[in-house]
Amino acid sequence: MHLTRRAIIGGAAAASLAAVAPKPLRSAGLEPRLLGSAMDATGGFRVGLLDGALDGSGGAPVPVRLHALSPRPDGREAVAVGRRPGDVSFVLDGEGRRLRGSFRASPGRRFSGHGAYAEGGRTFLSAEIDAATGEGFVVVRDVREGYAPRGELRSGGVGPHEVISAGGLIAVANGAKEPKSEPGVAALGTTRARSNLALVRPESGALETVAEVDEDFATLSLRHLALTPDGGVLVAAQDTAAGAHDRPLVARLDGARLRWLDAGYAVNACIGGSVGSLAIDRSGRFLAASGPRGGVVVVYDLAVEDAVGVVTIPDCCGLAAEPEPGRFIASNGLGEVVRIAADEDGAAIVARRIGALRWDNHLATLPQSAPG
Amino acid sequence: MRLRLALIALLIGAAPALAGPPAPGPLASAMIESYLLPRYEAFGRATAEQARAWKDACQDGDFSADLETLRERFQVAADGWAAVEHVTIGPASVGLRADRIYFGPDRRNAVAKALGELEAKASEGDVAEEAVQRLSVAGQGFPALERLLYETDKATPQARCRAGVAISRNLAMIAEEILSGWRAADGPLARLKRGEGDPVHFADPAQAAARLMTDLAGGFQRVNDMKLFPVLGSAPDMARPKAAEGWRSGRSARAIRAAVASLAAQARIFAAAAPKDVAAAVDKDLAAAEAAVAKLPDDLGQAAEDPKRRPAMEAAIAALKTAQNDLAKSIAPALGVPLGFNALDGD
Repeated sequence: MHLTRRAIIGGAAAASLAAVAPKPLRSAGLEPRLLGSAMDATGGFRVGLLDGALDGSGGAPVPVRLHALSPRPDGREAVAVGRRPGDVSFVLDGEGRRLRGSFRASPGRRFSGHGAYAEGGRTFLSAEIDAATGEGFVVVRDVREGYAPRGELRSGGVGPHEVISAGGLIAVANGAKEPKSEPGVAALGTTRARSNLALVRPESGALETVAEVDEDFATLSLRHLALTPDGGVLVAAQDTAAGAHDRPLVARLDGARLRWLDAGYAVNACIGGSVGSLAIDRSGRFLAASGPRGGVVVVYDLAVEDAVGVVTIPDCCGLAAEPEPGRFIASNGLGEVVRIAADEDGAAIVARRIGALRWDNHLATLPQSAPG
Repeated sequence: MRLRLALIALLIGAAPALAGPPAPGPLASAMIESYLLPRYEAFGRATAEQARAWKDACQDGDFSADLETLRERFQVAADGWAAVEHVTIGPASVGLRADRIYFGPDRRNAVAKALGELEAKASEGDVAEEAVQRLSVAGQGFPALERLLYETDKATPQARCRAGVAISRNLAMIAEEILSGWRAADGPLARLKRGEGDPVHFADPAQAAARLMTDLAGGFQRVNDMKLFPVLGSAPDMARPKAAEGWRSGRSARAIRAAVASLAAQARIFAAAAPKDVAAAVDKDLAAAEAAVAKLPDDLGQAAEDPKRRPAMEAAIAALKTAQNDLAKSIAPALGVPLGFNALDGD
């Protein structure tokens, strides 16, 4: 895609028509549809709740900054895996309002901020990083036993970040490199390992596929994943070279290789060198990728593997699909929640709300008709 | 200067009366009018003067006799950009303008490649404005101009002259576009002063203030992450002298000083709106950051390889980090301005 004036103006015009209505933060009574990591007006870390009208409300307060949230498929529980380099994860009620408990990483390991329920919610997969070597593991935990480890698998690489269930397999983005300038996991700051996307067989731990970034993309750290309804795996990268923003950052797993969705320099560059989050819409055709450094969300049409539009949302990271096809919710660190509509001709902001909660990296959709 | 005083009067006058943080809209518009626009104006003047100098120097089809003048114009114009390069709010972020002005990091020799293409075009005659804009962003701004002024290549003096004229004119045009974008009757500043949001740059006036503050805090981090850490490496034998911005023109340390002087000036304006004790503590740290970058060796890349000279760079990194923390942890909360965090933390 060429980043045309029309594409930008299209987004702008839609945005100016959209309501920009600050709403007071409601303390209760809201029926959450999305959970996200957030910070409240006092600087305290919280689970954030969002309802269908994009009204926000503070959920469970937590002692440390969160990253991604994983609602259990039955809607009765959710987990916030500790943010790298933390080693504590939190178990929450299904609406993220109360803290039920916590569990820790295996000794000598760090969490990566991501995990995923598997086997219909009976087990929970947490990505773990060996603090000394950076080596990656997926720990399989028994949900009924207080998330106690039941076994573990090699993640197929160094510095795993996001882990998801992908059909009968486990997909892991092994980031290899440390993209944070703040101290993260020290071993990831010095490793020469290449980042990869690995598919692991849960029963045997066998590596089904390891798709490594090639030499020309060696500074990329693969970190976030999305799954299409037909089982396709998409992965997003951060460029760990300081200031670099010239590479395509979103790829599709094609056999054992990565096929980059290269939308041309202008689109690649506007992302700013780092994709913070991915989401696939309900139809499975559109993929949204947030670029917090560039302050944009790029929407790709997976049917043609090209970008259809770019919307500007400063400090934007959290993304989730809406129930309607082509619709996404995005959130940012300045307190905005934005509704994006996309089709094969473009993408635009169609509504935005500002609230008192500032949204951190990720949003998660709660299962329909959660009993609470 | 008058604007700056007006701003301080506004902030100091308004704060005690309200007994609370200043309204974000007026805070943002005062910052744009008193801090940002004067710097874009200076950048516009410096790039216009540079373009004129190139035109004059190339009357005879060879700029070698005017090399010193052109180098001086280059340094001043690049200083002008260093003062505003951290700003992502506003027209500078539209249409790849920032990239076109200062492309980097150049990992695949994109600047040399693009300059080669431009020189090839220039060997056939004057280069039209549109031809420069169609060129890779790597060949449109300061890094390409730096090669012309500080390196030699196989192109003819005439072609190099035309390339320099074209690039310098392009820079002056982009600077003018940024200014006219800010000042447009329905532009972001006009909207801000009417208490409205802008469809591209901020959802509401409070977000404009938040973006200015985020850009400022990010500006200190940017100096560390992009201009110091990559050069320094984790040890003397891991230093990368050629990762230093502007090493060809010897302006690596100068660029950092220009950037930090501007960041400190912006931080002081925000601090002036905060309670006095907060402002005083921050002012001390800003002065320390300026002093630390003043001590950076001019040959930054070489210094990074010398264990005896690395501490000056490490001290600058620490001082800049302190200044960034002050903004995030004391100034922003004191002013009730939320700071974006996703863009800065890399996760």
